[in-house]
Amino acid sequence: MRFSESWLREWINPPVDTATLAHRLTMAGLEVDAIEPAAESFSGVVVAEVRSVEPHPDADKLKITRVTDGTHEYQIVCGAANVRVGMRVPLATLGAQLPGGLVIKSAKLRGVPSEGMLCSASELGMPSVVDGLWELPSDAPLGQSIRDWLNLDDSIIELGITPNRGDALSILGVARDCSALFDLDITPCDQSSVAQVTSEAVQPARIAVPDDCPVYLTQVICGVSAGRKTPMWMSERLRRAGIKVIEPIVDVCNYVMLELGQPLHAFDQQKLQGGLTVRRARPGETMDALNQQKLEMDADCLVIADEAGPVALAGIIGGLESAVSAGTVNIVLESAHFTPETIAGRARRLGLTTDAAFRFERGVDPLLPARALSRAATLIHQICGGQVGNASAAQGAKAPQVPAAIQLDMSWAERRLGLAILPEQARKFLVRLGCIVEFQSDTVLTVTPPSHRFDMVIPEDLLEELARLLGFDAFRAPMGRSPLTIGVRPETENSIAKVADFMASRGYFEAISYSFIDPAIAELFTSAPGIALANPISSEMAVMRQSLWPGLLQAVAFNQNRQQSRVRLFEMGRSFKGSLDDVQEIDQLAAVIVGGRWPEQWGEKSTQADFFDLKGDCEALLLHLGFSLDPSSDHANNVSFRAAAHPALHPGQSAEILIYGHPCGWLGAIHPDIAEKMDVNGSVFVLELDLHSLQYRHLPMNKPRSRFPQVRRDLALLKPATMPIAELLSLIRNGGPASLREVGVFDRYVGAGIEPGFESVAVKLIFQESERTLTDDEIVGIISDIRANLAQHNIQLRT
Amino acid sequence: MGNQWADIQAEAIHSIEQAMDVAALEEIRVAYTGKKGVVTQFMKELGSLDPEARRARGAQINELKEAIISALNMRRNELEQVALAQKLEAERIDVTLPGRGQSPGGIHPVTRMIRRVEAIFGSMGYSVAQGPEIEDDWHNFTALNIPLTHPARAMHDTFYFDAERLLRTHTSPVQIRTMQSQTPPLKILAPGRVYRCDSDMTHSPMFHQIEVLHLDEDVTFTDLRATLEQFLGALFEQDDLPIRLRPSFFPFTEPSAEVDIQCVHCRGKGCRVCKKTGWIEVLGSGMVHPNVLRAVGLNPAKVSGFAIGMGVERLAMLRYGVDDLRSFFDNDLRFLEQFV
Repeated sequence: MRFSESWLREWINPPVDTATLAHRLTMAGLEVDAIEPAAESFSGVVVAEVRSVEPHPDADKLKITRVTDGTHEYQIVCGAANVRVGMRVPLATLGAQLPGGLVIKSAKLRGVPSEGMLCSASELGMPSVVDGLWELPSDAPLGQSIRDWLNLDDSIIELGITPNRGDALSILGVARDCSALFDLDITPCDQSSVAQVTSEAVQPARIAVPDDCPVYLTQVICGVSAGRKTPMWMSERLRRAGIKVIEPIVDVCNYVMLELGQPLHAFDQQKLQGGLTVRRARPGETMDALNQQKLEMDADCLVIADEAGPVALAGIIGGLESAVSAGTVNIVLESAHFTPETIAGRARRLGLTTDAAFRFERGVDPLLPARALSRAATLIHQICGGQVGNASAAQGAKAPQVPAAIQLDMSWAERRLGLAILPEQARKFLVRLGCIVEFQSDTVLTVTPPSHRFDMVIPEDLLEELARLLGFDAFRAPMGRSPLTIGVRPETENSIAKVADFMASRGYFEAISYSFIDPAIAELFTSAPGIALANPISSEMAVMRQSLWPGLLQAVAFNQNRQQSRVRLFEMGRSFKGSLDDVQEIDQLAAVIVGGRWPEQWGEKSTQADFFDLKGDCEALLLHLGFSLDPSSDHANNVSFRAAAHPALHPGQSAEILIYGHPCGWLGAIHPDIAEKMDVNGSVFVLELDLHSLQYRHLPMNKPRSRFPQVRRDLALLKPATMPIAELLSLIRNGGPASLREVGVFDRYVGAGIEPGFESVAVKLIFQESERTLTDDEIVGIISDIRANLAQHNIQLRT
Repeated sequence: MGNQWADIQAEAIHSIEQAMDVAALEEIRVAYTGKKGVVTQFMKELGSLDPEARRARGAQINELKEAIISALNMRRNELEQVALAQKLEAERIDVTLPGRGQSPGGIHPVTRMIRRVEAIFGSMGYSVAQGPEIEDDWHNFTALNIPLTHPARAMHDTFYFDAERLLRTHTSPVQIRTMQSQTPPLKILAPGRVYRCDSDMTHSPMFHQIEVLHLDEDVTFTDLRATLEQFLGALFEQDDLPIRLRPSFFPFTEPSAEVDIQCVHCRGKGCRVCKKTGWIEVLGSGMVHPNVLRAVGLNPAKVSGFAIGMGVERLAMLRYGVDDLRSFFDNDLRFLEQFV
């Protein structure tokens, strides 16, 4: 909400400057978003009247005028088309400084001397409605400085009012907070005079839905003046509040809304057909609104209807048909209370934002309509004349709901706030806010909130009031008792940070990609349908991801398009599997590599990263996290890899990762079709691991070491090429004795000298007994047994 | 004969000094002290002498032999030193060449910030809690005292799956889930992704928040302030960092406060970052609303607490000087490489 500071100070005038006032308001919860000057800076501009207008001898578009400021007459050459004798205009006298810094000097225009300049509104930085000179009202005081006359040395204060403080959306509302903050009384400026009732005219009205609208008042004013004009003081205040000046009667309604907080509406009485009814809209009813929009309403909407149909969408916007215009002679003023529940959300749903809806949604004082109606009638009578009728209440009205009393125990307040507030101090604050306060005991108050405070319902609401008026800065204390709890995690737990740090240390950068992706991309990675958003922001962000790979591949494409050929990224985040009724949110680690094995450098031959680079990183991570790559270890942390098919992966370069036999991830080359569709270049390798499977490792446990020497034997074996190495090793391991401690591959060869369909593999075997030294004879026997076992699986010793 | 000894010795020593490598030295050794060497020959001839002359001659031969061996050893040492020096010189490398195969990796600034906040609250006894990102209406709104008519519940702000299920718009539902599953005293923080139907220069449809909750008997507003002072001072590594709490409104807290820190760029003097105000809004906080406690079956007369909610990207932007929110989600290596 924007308003003129001087307007507020008319109601309450705290003895502080603008900056301090703004600070105090902010710190009390009425946040000042901006302070602006009411006008741009200029000087030396006074009210003048045009006495004569003569053509310029040498210029068609210029005129020679004589103007007076009441004491002197000046000759001014003027180019404005609208200059005419008798009009009052702003005169920038010699030495005047205009916005932007222009200084007015005596000059000759096409040979004719000019002793100043007549100004348009825009030349003074004011909003202009017409081209040409700014025509001032005929009662503008001759010779007076424009700044003084219009009180332009004023500030515009803009408040960001929180949704709970609808009561503060007016000068009166802000004044009430100032009253409590500065302990000052308010001057109720609206109550200085009241228009005399001189007419019998009334508008019949009836409330059909008193729960939605308990109060509906109307007042008829007949015969308003045709030449009515909004006075300068009012249009200036409206301008400073950011409200457009439209027409005097509408302007008065807006003015009173700003002043008191009560939205009002005026109907052209001659456009109404019969009595008014406050009722719910009938399904399919429509109305052309003031903003030219055709509104289609349903039973959820509250309307004001005459006998022909809706004439206003209650509390939100009036109808075009019955609107007040320059030709209106008789008006019906409406001042009503619509409950917040009846208005909330309706304007938004219809695509409307109006000042009235903004206020009614947040709650307008239900006891305010009569006061606001009287104020509006008085101002309209002052400005537009006419005969004022009596304010009349619609049939069917009921007593509006007002806030119930709240018990406030000040010792409880201290336990919640951590600061003692004297009960008398609390009473003073609450009374200044309009509450009725009674002492129940020395420390317990009964507080009845004022009807304008919709946010005072429970004792905690009163705590907030006391705390904000004291200032949150008052709540300073050393750190309170903080129970000492042991926050150390189990030793066997692998933290997420450990995983991330390891990946970073291996040269991967952490990426964060969106959790929702394009369904067309999602289906490349899985045939299961993704969980779809009902209202996605775009089709590219429409289903929840079931894998982190699409996001990482998009990041690869993004970076490849920016001359980055070597990309290594990882992400830790959730994938969303299952259906909406059975969502599985799975925390995952995913990684991608593409490009050179090494960063470009002098020391190694430039080669492209392959499957085993990523697998090596994956293994290193698992080892770092305490898992074992030795398939013979029977701990729950034993990891294995097996060839398996995945829709997104190269069928020949795709491995499922298992921990103790349970699938927990995938590793492989992105399928070339998918790489093409994802617009990534080169061979791309991806990894995915369920973080849940990595969360716990076993506690390291010492075992006695053998004192006896170990024996190594190497075997060169020929195995069928289709048999995975892991299977070969497993055959050796399972066929070997307990003294076989380690089996590993250290070379492999395919090509000349090897029968097609076979592969040569060099395997090392390490034997050790814990209680004695193995003899050569024993080793020979063991090797012979292993060979015999392998022979059964078509594996021979290479000769 | 005396001259003969001296000549032989001088000749031997001269040739030793002339030897340029270990092999030449070895030839000299063989020529003098080898099986057929000059000195060995003399030794063989000793047998034909009488004992008196043999003793005298033997001493002379030994003297000659020792002199030659000593000269040989000295020269061998010299030559070895030279050879080692040459070998070392030949092995000289350019130590300014970069090491092999190193490239940096890094942690995303959002993760960095989350870790830092976790570490600070962790040191105050808070532990990390998690909750689902696909939430239901009750946990995300109703239990948090957000009325049906609240604008956040409109389709404009929230991603819905159906009438009931949605992407959480804040991390506050983790508060609700924790209060349902554990009993006070509670000290938790819940970092994670949150989602809002908004995308422009300053809004991302996905971002990160951290929710902090402390619930116990008689936790006070003053405790909240003290915690905020400790936290923000530690976060920005400035013990006396001025903070200010402004009354505000959140449906799930009462009283509610928005929290500003003194601008960390200009120390409150006023600059572009703080829009000349000297203050920067960093988070929201407040005392847990009794309706929230009631929603999870707690008695507001018995327990009270505070909640703090912060936007991770906002803090990361401030601390790491990031000025475009979208940089966080581009995954541009040139951006990420700065956070090694």
